[in-house]
Amino acid sequence: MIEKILPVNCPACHAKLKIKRLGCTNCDTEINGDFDFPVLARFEKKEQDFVLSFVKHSGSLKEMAKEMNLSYPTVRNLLDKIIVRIKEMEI
Amino acid sequence: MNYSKILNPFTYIAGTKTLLWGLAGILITSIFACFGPIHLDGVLDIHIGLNNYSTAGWSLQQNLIFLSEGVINWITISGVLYISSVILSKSKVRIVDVLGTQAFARLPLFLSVFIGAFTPLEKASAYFLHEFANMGNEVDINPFQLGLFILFMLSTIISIVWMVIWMYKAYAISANLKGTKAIVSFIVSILLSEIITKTVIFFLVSK
Repeated sequence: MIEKILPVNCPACHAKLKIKRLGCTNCDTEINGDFDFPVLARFEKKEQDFVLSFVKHSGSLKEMAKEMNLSYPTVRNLLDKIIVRIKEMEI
Repeated sequence: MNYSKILNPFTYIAGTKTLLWGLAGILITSIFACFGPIHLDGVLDIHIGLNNYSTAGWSLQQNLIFLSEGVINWITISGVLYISSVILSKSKVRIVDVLGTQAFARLPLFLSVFIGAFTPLEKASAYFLHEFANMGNEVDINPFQLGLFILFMLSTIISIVWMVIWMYKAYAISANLKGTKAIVSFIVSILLSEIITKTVIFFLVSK
Protein backbone atom coordinates (compact mmCIF):
# COMPACT_ATOMS: atom_id res chain seq x y z
CA MET A 1 0.00 0.00 0.00
CA ILE A 2 1.30 3.44 -0.88
CA GLU A 3 2.08 5.59 2.14
CA LYS A 4 0.51 8.99 1.56
CA ILE A 5 2.43 12.02 2.75
CA LEU A 6 0.40 14.78 4.34
CA PRO A 7 1.24 17.98 2.46
CA VAL A 8 1.92 20.95 4.76
CA ASN A 9 2.97 23.46 2.09
CA CYS A 10 1.17 24.49 -1.07
CA PRO A 11 2.71 22.69 -4.08
CA ALA A 12 2.00 25.76 -6.24
CA CYS A 13 3.32 28.68 -4.16
CA HIS A 14 4.99 26.88 -1.17
CA ALA A 15 2.92 28.86 1.38
CA LYS A 16 1.84 27.08 4.57
CA LEU A 17 -1.37 25.12 4.07
CA LYS A 18 -4.30 25.36 6.49
CA ILE A 19 -7.02 22.85 7.21
CA LYS A 20 -10.23 24.10 5.65
CA ARG A 21 -12.36 20.99 5.82
CA LEU A 22 -12.55 17.89 8.03
CA GLY A 23 -14.79 14.93 7.41
CA CYS A 24 -16.01 11.88 9.32
CA THR A 25 -15.73 8.73 7.24
CA ASN A 26 -18.29 7.02 9.50
CA CYS A 27 -21.29 9.40 9.32
CA ASP A 28 -20.22 11.78 6.54
CA THR A 29 -20.29 14.81 8.85
CA GLU A 30 -18.21 17.64 7.45
CA ILE A 31 -16.65 20.51 9.36
CA ASN A 32 -15.55 23.62 7.54
CA GLY A 33 -13.29 26.18 9.11
CA ASP A 34 -9.78 27.54 9.28
CA PHE A 35 -7.50 25.39 11.37
CA ASP A 36 -3.69 25.43 11.73
CA PHE A 37 -1.70 22.23 11.51
CA PRO A 38 -0.32 21.11 14.89
CA VAL A 39 3.46 21.66 15.16
CA LEU A 40 4.25 17.93 14.96
CA ALA A 41 2.18 17.51 11.80
CA ARG A 42 4.32 20.15 10.09
CA PHE A 43 7.45 18.03 10.56
CA GLU A 44 8.82 15.76 7.87
CA LYS A 45 8.17 12.05 8.33
CA LYS A 46 11.75 11.44 9.50
CA GLU A 47 11.48 14.16 12.14
CA GLN A 48 8.09 12.86 13.34
CA ASP A 49 9.61 9.38 13.71
CA PHE A 50 12.50 10.89 15.67
CA VAL A 51 10.15 12.67 18.09
CA LEU A 52 8.09 9.50 18.56
CA SER A 53 11.25 7.49 19.20
CA PHE A 54 12.42 10.14 21.67
CA VAL A 55 9.19 9.83 23.65
CA LYS A 56 9.22 6.02 23.48
CA HIS A 57 12.78 5.99 24.88
CA SER A 58 11.74 8.31 27.73
CA GLY A 59 14.06 10.97 26.33
CA SER A 60 17.18 8.80 26.59
CA LEU A 61 19.44 9.88 23.72
CA LYS A 62 21.89 7.16 24.69
CA GLU A 63 19.27 4.46 24.13
CA MET A 64 18.17 6.09 20.87
CA ALA A 65 21.77 6.26 19.63
CA LYS A 66 22.16 2.55 20.36
CA GLU A 67 18.98 1.68 18.46
CA MET A 68 19.71 3.96 15.52
CA ASN A 69 23.37 2.84 15.27
CA LEU A 70 24.49 6.46 15.51
CA SER A 71 26.79 8.22 17.94
CA TYR A 72 25.41 10.15 20.90
CA PRO A 73 26.41 13.61 19.58
CA THR A 74 24.84 12.83 16.17
CA VAL A 75 21.51 12.02 17.85
CA ARG A 76 21.80 15.08 20.12
CA ASN A 77 22.45 17.24 17.03
CA LEU A 78 19.30 15.84 15.36
CA LEU A 79 17.32 16.72 18.48
CA ASP A 80 18.81 20.23 18.56
CA LYS A 81 17.80 20.69 14.91
CA ILE A 82 14.22 19.76 15.79
CA ILE A 83 14.25 22.15 18.77
CA VAL A 84 15.35 24.97 16.44
CA ARG A 85 12.54 24.05 13.99
CA ILE A 86 9.95 24.10 16.79
CA LYS A 87 11.17 27.52 17.97
CA GLU A 88 10.99 28.86 14.42
CA MET A 89 7.43 27.57 14.05
CA GLU A 90 6.38 29.18 17.31
CA ILE A 91 7.44 32.65 16.12
CA MET B 1 31.89 -0.17 1.00
CA ASN B 2 30.53 2.61 3.18
CA TYR B 3 32.84 5.56 2.46
CA SER B 4 30.94 7.89 4.79
CA LYS B 5 32.15 5.75 7.70
CA ILE B 6 35.76 6.30 6.63
CA LEU B 7 35.29 9.99 5.93
CA ASN B 8 33.32 10.67 9.07
CA PRO B 9 33.26 7.81 11.59
CA PHE B 10 31.96 10.15 14.29
CA THR B 11 28.43 9.99 12.95
CA TYR B 12 28.50 6.43 14.21
CA ILE B 13 30.91 6.38 17.16
CA ALA B 14 31.87 8.87 19.85
CA GLY B 15 32.28 9.08 23.61
CA THR B 16 33.95 6.33 25.64
CA LYS B 17 34.31 3.94 22.70
CA THR B 18 36.38 6.43 20.69
CA LEU B 19 38.29 7.43 23.83
CA LEU B 20 39.47 3.86 24.45
CA TRP B 21 40.36 3.25 20.79
CA GLY B 22 42.08 6.62 20.59
CA LEU B 23 44.12 6.17 23.76
CA ALA B 24 45.24 2.73 22.62
CA GLY B 25 46.22 4.30 19.27
CA ILE B 26 48.19 7.11 20.94
CA LEU B 27 50.04 4.57 23.12
CA ILE B 28 50.88 2.19 20.24
CA THR B 29 51.88 5.07 17.94
CA SER B 30 54.19 6.41 20.66
CA ILE B 31 55.83 3.00 21.07
CA PHE B 32 56.48 2.72 17.32
CA ALA B 33 57.69 6.34 17.28
CA CYS B 34 60.53 5.26 19.64
CA PHE B 35 61.82 2.91 16.92
CA GLY B 36 61.84 5.63 14.24
CA PRO B 37 62.91 7.71 16.01
CA ILE B 38 59.99 9.96 15.13
CA HIS B 39 58.86 12.92 17.18
CA LEU B 40 55.24 14.05 17.14
CA ASP B 41 56.32 17.40 18.50
CA GLY B 42 53.21 19.43 17.82
CA VAL B 43 49.54 18.93 17.13
CA LEU B 44 50.12 18.41 13.38
CA ASP B 45 53.81 17.45 13.42
CA ILE B 46 55.73 14.36 12.41
CA HIS B 47 59.49 14.87 12.57
CA ILE B 48 62.44 12.57 12.30
CA GLY B 49 64.45 12.63 15.53
CA LEU B 50 67.84 14.03 14.60
CA ASN B 51 70.74 15.79 16.33
CA ASN B 52 69.52 17.61 19.43
CA TYR B 53 66.43 15.41 19.47
CA SER B 54 68.59 12.32 19.27
CA THR B 55 67.25 9.30 21.05
CA ALA B 56 70.49 7.40 21.23
CA GLY B 57 70.16 5.10 24.20
CA TRP B 58 66.93 3.85 25.63
CA SER B 59 66.47 5.63 28.88
CA LEU B 60 63.09 5.61 30.56
CA GLN B 61 63.01 9.40 30.46
CA GLN B 62 63.50 9.48 26.68
CA ASN B 63 60.78 6.92 26.12
CA LEU B 64 58.47 8.90 28.38
CA ILE B 65 59.07 11.95 26.19
CA PHE B 66 57.86 9.99 23.14
CA LEU B 67 54.76 8.91 25.03
CA SER B 68 54.09 12.33 26.53
CA GLU B 69 54.29 14.04 23.11
CA GLY B 70 51.26 12.11 21.89
CA VAL B 71 49.36 12.76 25.12
CA ILE B 72 50.29 16.48 25.21
CA ASN B 73 49.09 16.95 21.62
CA TRP B 74 45.81 15.18 22.30
CA ILE B 75 45.07 16.92 25.63
CA THR B 76 45.94 20.36 24.21
CA ILE B 77 43.84 20.17 21.05
CA SER B 78 40.94 18.62 22.98
CA GLY B 79 41.11 21.32 25.64
CA VAL B 80 41.25 24.19 23.14
CA LEU B 81 38.44 22.74 21.02
CA TYR B 82 36.30 22.10 24.11
CA ILE B 83 36.66 25.73 25.22
CA SER B 84 35.82 26.85 21.68
CA SER B 85 32.75 24.54 21.65
CA VAL B 86 31.48 25.85 24.98
CA ILE B 87 31.82 29.46 23.75
CA LEU B 88 30.33 28.95 20.27
CA SER B 89 27.90 26.06 20.45
CA LYS B 90 24.28 26.30 21.50
CA SER B 91 24.25 22.56 22.17
CA LYS B 92 25.28 20.85 25.37
CA VAL B 93 28.79 19.61 24.55
CA ARG B 94 30.09 16.59 26.46
CA ILE B 95 33.81 16.66 27.25
CA VAL B 96 34.01 12.87 26.77
CA ASP B 97 32.91 13.33 23.14
CA VAL B 98 35.58 15.97 22.47
CA LEU B 99 38.33 13.96 24.23
CA GLY B 100 37.23 10.66 22.65
CA THR B 101 36.74 11.80 19.06
CA GLN B 102 39.94 13.88 19.09
CA ALA B 103 41.91 10.87 20.39
CA PHE B 104 40.35 8.67 17.70
CA ALA B 105 41.10 11.30 15.02
CA ARG B 106 44.82 10.82 15.74
CA LEU B 107 44.73 7.14 14.68
CA PRO B 108 45.86 7.87 11.07
CA LEU B 109 49.25 8.97 12.46
CA PHE B 110 49.95 5.32 13.13
CA LEU B 111 50.20 4.65 9.38
CA SER B 112 53.13 7.01 8.96
CA VAL B 113 54.82 6.13 12.26
CA PHE B 114 54.51 2.37 11.55
CA ILE B 115 56.21 2.74 8.16
CA GLY B 116 58.78 5.07 9.75
CA ALA B 117 59.64 2.47 12.39
CA PHE B 118 60.97 0.16 9.64
CA THR B 119 62.69 2.91 7.64
CA PRO B 120 66.32 3.96 8.24
CA LEU B 121 65.15 7.53 8.76
CA GLU B 122 68.34 9.06 10.14
CA LYS B 123 70.43 7.44 7.41
CA ALA B 124 68.05 8.56 4.64
CA SER B 125 67.84 12.08 6.07
CA ALA B 126 71.63 12.28 6.21
CA TYR B 127 71.75 11.06 2.59
CA PHE B 128 69.36 13.80 1.41
CA LEU B 129 71.17 16.45 3.46
CA HIS B 130 74.45 15.50 1.79
CA GLU B 131 73.00 15.14 -1.71
CA PHE B 132 70.88 18.28 -1.85
CA ALA B 133 72.25 20.62 0.81
CA ASN B 134 75.88 19.49 0.72
CA MET B 135 75.86 18.99 4.47
CA GLY B 136 77.49 16.19 6.47
CA ASN B 137 79.31 13.13 5.16
CA GLU B 138 78.51 10.97 2.16
CA VAL B 139 76.04 8.21 3.04
CA ASP B 140 75.71 4.87 1.28
CA ILE B 141 72.06 3.97 0.88
CA ASN B 142 70.45 1.19 -1.19
CA PRO B 143 67.37 1.66 -3.47
CA PHE B 144 65.13 -0.33 -1.12
CA GLN B 145 65.94 1.96 1.80
CA LEU B 146 65.43 4.98 -0.43
CA GLY B 147 62.04 3.63 -1.62
CA LEU B 148 61.02 2.99 1.98
CA PHE B 149 61.92 6.58 2.86
CA ILE B 150 59.82 7.95 -0.03
CA LEU B 151 56.94 5.72 1.10
CA PHE B 152 57.34 7.15 4.60
CA MET B 153 57.22 10.72 3.24
CA LEU B 154 54.05 9.96 1.21
CA SER B 155 52.39 8.21 4.15
CA THR B 156 53.20 11.21 6.34
CA ILE B 157 51.29 13.55 4.02
CA ILE B 158 48.35 11.12 3.81
CA SER B 159 48.33 10.61 7.60
CA ILE B 160 48.31 14.32 8.38
CA VAL B 161 45.61 15.19 5.81
CA TRP B 162 43.48 12.25 7.01
CA MET B 163 43.98 13.23 10.66
CA VAL B 164 43.03 16.89 10.03
CA ILE B 165 39.84 15.82 8.19
CA TRP B 166 38.89 13.56 11.11
CA MET B 167 39.79 16.24 13.68
CA TYR B 168 37.49 18.71 11.95
CA LYS B 169 34.63 16.20 11.56
CA ALA B 170 35.06 15.21 15.22
CA TYR B 171 34.88 18.85 16.30
CA ALA B 172 31.89 19.68 14.06
CA ILE B 173 29.86 16.74 15.40
CA SER B 174 30.88 17.00 19.06
CA ALA B 175 30.19 20.74 19.16
CA ASN B 176 27.28 20.76 16.68
CA LEU B 177 28.88 23.53 14.63
CA LYS B 178 28.75 24.06 10.89
CA GLY B 179 29.91 26.42 8.15
CA THR B 180 32.17 29.42 8.65
CA LYS B 181 31.83 29.38 12.44
CA ALA B 182 33.13 25.79 12.59
CA ILE B 183 35.92 26.25 10.02
CA VAL B 184 37.30 29.52 11.42
CA SER B 185 37.18 28.38 15.06
CA PHE B 186 38.81 25.08 14.08
CA ILE B 187 41.69 26.82 12.28
CA VAL B 188 42.22 29.24 15.20
CA SER B 189 42.16 26.31 17.66
CA ILE B 190 44.71 24.39 15.58
CA LEU B 191 47.06 27.40 15.44
CA LEU B 192 46.71 28.04 19.17
CA SER B 193 47.26 24.36 20.00
CA GLU B 194 50.29 24.24 17.71
CA ILE B 195 51.88 27.13 19.65
CA ILE B 196 51.06 25.56 23.03
CA THR B 197 52.28 22.05 22.13
CA LYS B 198 55.44 23.30 20.42
CA THR B 199 56.32 25.37 23.49
CA VAL B 200 55.52 22.67 26.05
CA ILE B 201 57.33 19.92 24.15
CA PHE B 202 60.35 22.16 23.50
CA PHE B 203 60.76 22.81 27.23
CA LEU B 204 60.23 19.13 27.99
CA VAL B 205 62.85 17.93 25.51
CA SER B 206 65.41 20.63 26.30
CA LYS B 207 65.38 19.76 30.02
